[in-house]
Amino acid sequence: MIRLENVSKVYPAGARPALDSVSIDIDKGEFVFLIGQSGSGKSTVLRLLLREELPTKGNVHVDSRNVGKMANRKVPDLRRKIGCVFQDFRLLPKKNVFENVAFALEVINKSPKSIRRTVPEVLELVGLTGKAQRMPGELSGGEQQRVAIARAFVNRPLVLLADEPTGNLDPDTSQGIMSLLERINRTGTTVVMATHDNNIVDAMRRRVVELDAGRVIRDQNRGVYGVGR
Amino acid sequence: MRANFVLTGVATGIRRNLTMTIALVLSTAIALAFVGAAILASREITNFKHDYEGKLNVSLYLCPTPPKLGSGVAPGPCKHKYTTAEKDALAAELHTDPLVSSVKFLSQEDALARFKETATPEVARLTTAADLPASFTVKLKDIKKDYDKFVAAYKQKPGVSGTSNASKVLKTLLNVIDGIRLFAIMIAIVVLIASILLIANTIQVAAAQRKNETSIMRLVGASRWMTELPFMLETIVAAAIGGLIAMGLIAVGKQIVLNDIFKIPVSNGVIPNLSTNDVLVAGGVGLISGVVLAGLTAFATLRLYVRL
Repeated sequence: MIRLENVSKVYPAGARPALDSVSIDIDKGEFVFLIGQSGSGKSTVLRLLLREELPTKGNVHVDSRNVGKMANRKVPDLRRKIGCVFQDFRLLPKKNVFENVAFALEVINKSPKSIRRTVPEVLELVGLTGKAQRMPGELSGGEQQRVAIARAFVNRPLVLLADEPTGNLDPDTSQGIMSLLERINRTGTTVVMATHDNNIVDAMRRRVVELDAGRVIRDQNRGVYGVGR
Repeated sequence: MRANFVLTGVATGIRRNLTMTIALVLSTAIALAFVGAAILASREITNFKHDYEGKLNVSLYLCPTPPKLGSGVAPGPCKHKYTTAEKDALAAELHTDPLVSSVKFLSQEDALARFKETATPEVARLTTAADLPASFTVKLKDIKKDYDKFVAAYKQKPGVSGTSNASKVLKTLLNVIDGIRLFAIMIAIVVLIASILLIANTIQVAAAQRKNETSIMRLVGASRWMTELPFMLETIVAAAIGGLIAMGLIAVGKQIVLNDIFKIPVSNGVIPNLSTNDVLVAGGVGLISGVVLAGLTAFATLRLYVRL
């Protein structure tokens, strides 16, 4: 599903590469943690997968398409296959929960009829039934992240990328978000999650890819966060 | 494209940036009003030239029956009504003259028929063919250069009573309108440049305000077109409103200048009037070019200065 082949990324201003010859292979339906310190290159990997950045060297494949060589006009198509969740939720503050999720469907030209059908379904999946008319400001952090996950998942993407999704949440709430991501993973969606949260990584016992200074220093099935430290 | 979704976005965008949109509407309106004014001035010049070109023919008047002595009418250069021989001699000479491109003889009956087309019914009823002189309508190859030479050559010929040419007044008036047109064009260009820069700025501000929204649009796979369309439509709507206001402005302007200030010469037909149709055409051309220009400016700004 996702394959990075000897990928290097050098930002114009950066002295050392953000990624240095990184190769990662992720199968369909996998759940992968991407760990490492700040600046280790986790976010760069996610940005390459979304084609927010182009690799300096090497190839990035998503769903057997070469993302780096893809024509600009194909990029929206790629992004419709990838859902995204961030630490800061990135909800539209002037739209309510329903509208925030519907927004993702409206901009890709889904019919109002199918929007009215799918949005309540996904809100139920993330546990927000009955909160469709709330504004983001009226929700707790955990609930806002659920809205963001609903928005990322409403289009049934092949891949869900999560960049520190629990970074702003307390441990109990984080636990709820993780079981939600797990449930989404069980539907066959590949989940790639960048995180610092060792408790979560240790508890989940999933594949762990650790980056350090732009290199993969560990790729371990059923790994934990702090091995060897 | 879900029209409803896009239009709601446009309405929200305009409301959020209301003062800037108003500035945009007003500057577009002024720019397009001057564009319209320039078009109307051109139209007026064309009308003038149309009237004027009819007069660019030189009329060579033939001697009418001279007024009886003591009738109170001043005796002209003619001693007697022109003779057929004089007429034929003149015709032959005109036909072979290298300065002349065409010649048409207008008998007194023809002159009367033509006169009746323009005269009021009372005047027409009282006029007979005998009151009007017969003439040759002569078209010169180069009226500007040869007019004086031509007049000098024919004025004294037997049977000729006089010549006439378009008045200098018309030329002066034409120059004035041409000046007005040039002025309108220059103002239009200056204000259009201001409007274009205003559009570019407005879009950059609006795009910065809505960065959050557009970045989410991009993340969920909206096409570039979809993220740019609201900005373009907002600009186009503002330009279209400006164009409509401009149309009103030039209609009022035309009314004041032609039907108020120059009311009498216009009603006499000395200055050609402009129809509502002319105003609509000028306003419409302004509106369409304003909308197209706004759309192109918005598009270029989005592609060059705003990376959505």
